Amino acid sequence: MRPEFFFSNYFRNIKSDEFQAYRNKALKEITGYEWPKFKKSEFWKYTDPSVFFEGIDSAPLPIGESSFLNTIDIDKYLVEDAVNILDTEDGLLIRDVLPQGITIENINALDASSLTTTNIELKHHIGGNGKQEKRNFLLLNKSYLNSGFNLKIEDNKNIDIPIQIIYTKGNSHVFRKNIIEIGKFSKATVIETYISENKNNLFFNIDTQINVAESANLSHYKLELSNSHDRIFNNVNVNINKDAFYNNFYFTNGGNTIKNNIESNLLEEGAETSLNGLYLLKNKNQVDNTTIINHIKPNTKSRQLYKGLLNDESKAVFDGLVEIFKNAKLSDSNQLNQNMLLSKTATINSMPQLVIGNDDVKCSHGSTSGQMDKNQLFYLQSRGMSKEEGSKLLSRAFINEILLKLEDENTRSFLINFINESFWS
Amino acid sequence: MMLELRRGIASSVDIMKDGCFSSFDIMLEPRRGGASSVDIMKDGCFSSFDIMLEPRRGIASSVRGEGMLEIKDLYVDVEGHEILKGINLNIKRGEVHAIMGPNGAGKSTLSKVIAGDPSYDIKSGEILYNINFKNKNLLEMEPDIRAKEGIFLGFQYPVEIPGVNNAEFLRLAFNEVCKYQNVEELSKEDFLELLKSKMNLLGIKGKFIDRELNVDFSGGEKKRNEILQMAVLNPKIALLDETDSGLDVDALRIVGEGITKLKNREMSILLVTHYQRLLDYIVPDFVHVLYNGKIVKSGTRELAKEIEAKGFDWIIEEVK
Ligand SMILES: Nc1ncnc2c1ncn2[C@@H]1O[C@H](COP(=O)(O)OP(=O)(O)OP(=O)(O)O)[C@@H](O)[C@H]1O
Ligand SMILES: [Mg+2]
Repeated sequence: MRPEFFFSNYFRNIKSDEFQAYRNKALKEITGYEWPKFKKSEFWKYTDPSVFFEGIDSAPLPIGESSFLNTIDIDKYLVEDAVNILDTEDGLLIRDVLPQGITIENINALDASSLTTTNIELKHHIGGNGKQEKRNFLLLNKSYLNSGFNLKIEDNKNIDIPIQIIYTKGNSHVFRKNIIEIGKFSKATVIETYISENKNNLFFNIDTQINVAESANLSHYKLELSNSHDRIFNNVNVNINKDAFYNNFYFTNGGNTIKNNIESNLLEEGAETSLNGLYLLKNKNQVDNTTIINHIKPNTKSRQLYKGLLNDESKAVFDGLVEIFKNAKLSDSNQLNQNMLLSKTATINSMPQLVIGNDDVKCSHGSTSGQMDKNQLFYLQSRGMSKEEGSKLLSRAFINEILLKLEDENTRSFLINFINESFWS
Repeated sequence: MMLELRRGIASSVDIMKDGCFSSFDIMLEPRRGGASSVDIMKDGCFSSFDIMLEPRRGIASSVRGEGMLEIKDLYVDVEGHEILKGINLNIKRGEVHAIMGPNGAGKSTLSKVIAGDPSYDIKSGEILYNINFKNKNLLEMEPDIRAKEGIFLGFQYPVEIPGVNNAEFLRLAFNEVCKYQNVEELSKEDFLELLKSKMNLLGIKGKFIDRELNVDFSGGEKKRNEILQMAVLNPKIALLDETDSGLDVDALRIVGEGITKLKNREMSILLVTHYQRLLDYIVPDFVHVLYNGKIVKSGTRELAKEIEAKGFDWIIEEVK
């Protein structure tokens, strides 16, 4: 399997030499690279990487395609009282006035200027299993980069209106790079929304790099509202500086094959992170969540809760690594993955892992997976609820806890509505 | 007579008595699948009438004393162990039956089997249940249908359900029953009113109504919550499994008096208890002793007193 073959005719009509040079450099690095065989590598133990490339040449070319903006009802994807930004083929459409102190730029394959104005690389630690494989997927991202944004929030800005970015480029494969930088002592909520109502079996390769400066507070919600055809490789890398807080919520709703990675680096003392995930799977959906939290300095804190509901023949993987570095004394970490299996044919592989480099820490981790509690279900039935209604109530109750991690109430009610229509309809 | 009734709402109806129509203001709660006996106030006095509601709501009048629940030769296994070994029991409308018996005898098993707990294997026997004068095979009905048809189980160990709000759950359950009976569902506000009136009736004060269902409730709160659910769901037959266990003296009085208030001449009760004291409030028509999966002795309330004084050994001796 060699990536250059899959994309042989891709991006012929790139107009910017500079952009092409950036891509070529990355492409060169992976040219000739053999992708690891399924199950041979720890990183690809449960998700077959070749799935991402299947039939990839037959999808439409990305250039000159219009976004699907005109063919869908975009309004139903907008979070109320947020600044809605549509990422379209024609650039970023900002629906309201951006709050003061925020700038957002488009990274666009057709526009050379987007490269020169964008600090396209942030320095990040890459750790854990599959370092190399992950890196190669990110090189692939660079090689075919065709979209993304660069969002900057100045120092000392308390922005109480959430910023929602909605991706409407979905008629072609997507290689996207997002950069979010939040300045010192600032606070903001950024919502990334993926929608896809097409049946094109697209490949999304999305890399998001984040820097949270000293004492800043960033809530970052990634809502994947996809149909069941897309294949998504998602990467988030975040650097958290002194006394800063990064709060992530990853929502996944189906998809053919999805691999979500997040790596959160607690770089300086007082840094704190909270990673939350919710995946709702049915049919043959497959989601592989890999999280890494690096406690690099003392007095850092991490919280992690991932919950999944699995129906039909769906599969989920939770591979969560918390690493406490040698001198990261007084680190405080808590990690939990919980799954409820709604059918006998759904499968879950849950692997919470803890690597502790010193004794002076407070850590807990664990995972629970199982069917719905029979006694609870009978109790509800004995009060007149049908088995179906009772199961719904119990599975809703199960995910309630994680939905409360969405601090922005509008986002929470948006997501609850979406779940009602898509998962419980 | 045709009535268009809304639960908990006073209606003015014309009722013919002695050949004349008179107008009355009445307050009634349509009862599940059954006729309502209503108390109607006229000239400062209450009179009791049996009324027949609209037939399309599946409601017919009832006669006290007709058979309600009949258990015939019931054998039940759990995980390969025989627990119930030939139970026979006949409960008529309005009757109170108490079941006593040593730990592990199968009392909870019996009540859960009646309510439809799927974890038990019914080996043989049948349970007939009177729905509008017709005996239906209860064992063929899903647990929720049994509940909607008026069977209520007060659990010995009420189940904790995190993430589900107590009051909201009760409203959902109540509305499921309304849907089944084709009567109007209640809005949040209307339901809250109904709930409050039931709490007043029972003398239950409790912040537990707004908490997660049974989660971290004290033993007594759990039992009171069961009785509150019973009050809201207004069953035709209540299976109360040790509703008196774990209650302090005051709570016992509240629960005992509460059940007495809820019990009208329509409602039958199967009461599992270890103590005579609840029977001071709810006077049983019959007392049965369940031992080793069988009813080995039946008697009147005197039997309960005897058991309280002497224990079970003498009965077990008799059986041998
Ligand atoms: N799910 C189960 N698995 C195995 N054994 C069970 C199960 N449920 C009940 N039993 C057994 O069945 C027997 C009867 O239990 P049951 O709960 O009906 O007794 P009980 O009469 O209600 O006792 P108590 O007075 O202690 O409440 C006991 O021996 C119990 O261990
Ligand atoms: Mg018992």
